[in-house]
Amino acid sequence: MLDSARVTWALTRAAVRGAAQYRLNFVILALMGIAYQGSGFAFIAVVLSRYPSIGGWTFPQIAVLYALRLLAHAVYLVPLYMLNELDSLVREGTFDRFLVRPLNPLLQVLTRRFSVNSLGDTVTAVGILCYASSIADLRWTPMTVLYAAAAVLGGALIEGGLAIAISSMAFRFVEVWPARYLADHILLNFGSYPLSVFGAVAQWVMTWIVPVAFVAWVPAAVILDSTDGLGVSGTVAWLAPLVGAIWFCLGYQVWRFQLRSYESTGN
Amino acid sequence: MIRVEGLTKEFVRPRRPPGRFAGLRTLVTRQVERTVAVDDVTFDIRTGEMVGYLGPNGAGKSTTIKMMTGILVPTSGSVDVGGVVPWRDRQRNALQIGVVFGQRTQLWWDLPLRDSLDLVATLYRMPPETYRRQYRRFVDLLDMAEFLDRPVRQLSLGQRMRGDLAAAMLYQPRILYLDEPTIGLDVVAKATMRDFIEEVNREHGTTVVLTTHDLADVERLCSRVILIDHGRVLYDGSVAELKSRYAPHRTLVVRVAGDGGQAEPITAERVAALGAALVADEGEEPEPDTVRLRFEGGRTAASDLIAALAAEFSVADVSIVEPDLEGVVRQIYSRRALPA
Amino acid sequence: MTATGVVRDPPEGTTDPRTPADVAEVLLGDAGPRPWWRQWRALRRVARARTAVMFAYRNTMLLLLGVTVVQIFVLKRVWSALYTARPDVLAVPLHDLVVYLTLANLIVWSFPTHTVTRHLRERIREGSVVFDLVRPVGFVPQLVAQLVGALGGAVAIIVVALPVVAVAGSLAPPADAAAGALFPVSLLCAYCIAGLLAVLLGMIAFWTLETDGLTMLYVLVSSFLSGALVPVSVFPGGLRTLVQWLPFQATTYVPASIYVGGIEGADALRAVGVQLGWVVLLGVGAALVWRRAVRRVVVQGG
Repeated sequence: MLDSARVTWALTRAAVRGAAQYRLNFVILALMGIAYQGSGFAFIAVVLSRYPSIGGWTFPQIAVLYALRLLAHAVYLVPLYMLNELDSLVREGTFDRFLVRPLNPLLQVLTRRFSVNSLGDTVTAVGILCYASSIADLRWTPMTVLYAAAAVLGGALIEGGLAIAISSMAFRFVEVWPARYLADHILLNFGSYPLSVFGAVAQWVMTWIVPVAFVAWVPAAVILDSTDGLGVSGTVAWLAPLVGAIWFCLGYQVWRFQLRSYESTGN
Repeated sequence: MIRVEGLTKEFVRPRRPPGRFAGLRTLVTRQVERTVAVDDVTFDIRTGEMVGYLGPNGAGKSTTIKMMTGILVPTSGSVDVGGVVPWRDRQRNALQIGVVFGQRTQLWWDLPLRDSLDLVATLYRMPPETYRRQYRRFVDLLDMAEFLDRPVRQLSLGQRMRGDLAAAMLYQPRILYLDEPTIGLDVVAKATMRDFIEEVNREHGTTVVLTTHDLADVERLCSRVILIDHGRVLYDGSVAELKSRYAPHRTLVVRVAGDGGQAEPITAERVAALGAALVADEGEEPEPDTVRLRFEGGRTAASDLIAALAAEFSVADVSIVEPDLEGVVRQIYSRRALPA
Repeated sequence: MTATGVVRDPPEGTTDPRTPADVAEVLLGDAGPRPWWRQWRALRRVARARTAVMFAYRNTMLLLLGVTVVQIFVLKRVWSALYTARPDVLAVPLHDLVVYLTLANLIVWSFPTHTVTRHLRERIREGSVVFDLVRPVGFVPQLVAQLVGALGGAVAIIVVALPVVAVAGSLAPPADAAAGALFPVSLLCAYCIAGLLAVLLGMIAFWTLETDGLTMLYVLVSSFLSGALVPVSVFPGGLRTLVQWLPFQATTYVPASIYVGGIEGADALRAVGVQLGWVVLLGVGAALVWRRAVRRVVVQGG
């Protein structure tokens, strides 16, 4: 374990060194991350300049929700970005190499290159969080800070588990990125609003089938101290970060199962 | 060291029905196509052996190697590499093998070669002093000093391959798999590679499994070859045996003394009486006074043939051409292609 | 994706005897060895091939349409919630707004921006763009054929997915006969504008090799500014003025608004007039940039 961590760290450093050589792409890719995540927030800002609330949530409250979701997304994206390129690693046969090296193949995929896009998302997330805490009525206590941190990590694990499970389909099918794109979009779109807006059915699905609710909506409600209408009890709401751990383990099991049917068709 | 038994790999792919609306029909019907890439292959490789694993494109070479290295899980059969089932215990297997894929580098594209070697040492948990010793030795043996600090993407193919070979052998694996290691290399680079492989085999008793299209690699390095086609083993044995079984014919090249056309010509009948046959000149420029006689080494002794020829004709010079592996293998595959 | 089999590319190293001006003339004026209308069959083949490619990747296309369907559903619910909070901000009834959003997002989805930029990048990278100019089937007709083919594929896929779209968003016939008549004209203009914008974007490949990231950035920003998420009339003051002066609203907001009756009568005709203005302006702009770029390639050899 400790050994693997040391090796992974060495590979990560190498990936960052490699990426640092392409300065120009740095800027464009980072801007892309900012535009991608920023345009969603711009929409909310625009409509809430004319309307008082969405589903009973005011602009400052939705800003907190949006910031938590985006922060969870960034925490997921920075280490797991390379999953996006699993399609091409498999197609070009590069993945073969990961199976003849003494380190978990997933860790090798993740440390193959360092992506700068994820920095754009991180910058946007931190920016919106600062903005949101300045306009929202938040009373930070050590307990809520701790809870928020755990919730962000839990949210990242939910997104990560889903991403790992879907990406691992690349071992069987040629093109998986559109499915990843769709899943990303579902998390982004549903996750940025109070789920009650989408109706009872969608809310139930987004809570118990795909746990979008636990990424940001439930934690945001806990932090804002307005847990009515969540569809889960207060206790469950406080346990939200655990959902991520469970979900991530499930995702990894799917990955292991799919890996067994890897056929190394690339050449 | 390596024990392969009844190894079989079957690929299953969905088949697209031809014709209009084919795309729509694939959604409702589930037709699949089964292809057997490797079919009941069995062999043993001893420690320290260097084996050439040969076959035409699509014969199942790569698929076999991928199962032996643990990349692929076979449909049936078993592989045992130094006491490890490769695909079941990939990481333990990885520690004892080195793999070179000629077309795909394992080096870090954007980093200097030196960094790639450092990373390999870390990956394989090499003790620092062992790494330093191996590093110095390989830089020297493969003559890599001048391009160690250059990013791998800027290296020539020959330099990159030397780097790849060093990376695969750095941690002194017991087994080395080489998949087309000399593809696209020039003569000098090929020679360096072959010398290096021979050296590590001699020094450490490394077992080497080699697939290649360049049979000169095999002839230079391997005492044993395994030939496969359509997923089945066609031949498994020594190179010499292969030649004598599939290409028993040696060729005697005779230059007749030019004495103004007075000497009797060497005719087909006369040659047949001596237990040989006249063959056409395969050289690029036909030489006027030269004839080529093909004879079976097992039946006719070369010395007898030469003596008989010298007695009847005015022979100026003789030489014997042995069959090369390239020709032998080409002959085997072309024979297989014909309906038996 | 070119009409091969008609004429081979000249072998490497062959110098084109035409001057850059000639080449540009050929390109801009369609004055190739044979005019494009004589090459109808070849062009049709190009378009068909493009459609076939879209069908070959139908799973990808459907999943990407799924992204749009999710977007439509989310927008519908969010706007419903907004209307519940305060029903009188917009003059448009909620149902019309949802139809507008559904239509606008489908239009954005069907824009072949990636098709255009990829095609241009490939041709420019191979350096074959110059030879495209002297082909019997000129470059512009070829590009148009590609667009038509891509559009055909997109429409077929949308038709298949229409029931799902109807549930996620909302569908309705055009507001009235006039809207029904003007909508196709406006939509055609919208496609021309989107196509020309994509060509302008794709031509960046003459100067830099990478355009994929930029294209994605463009798609994101343009779909926001085009009114596919928020009708242009909702934008706050300054932003609304900016958006009205940009071409993006003419690609989406105008045709979708005409369809649902958000823009009517003289306003509708004026909006289509503005669209036509954009077509001319962007067409001339694209031609100028193109001329410069081609001269660069011809003179410097790429």
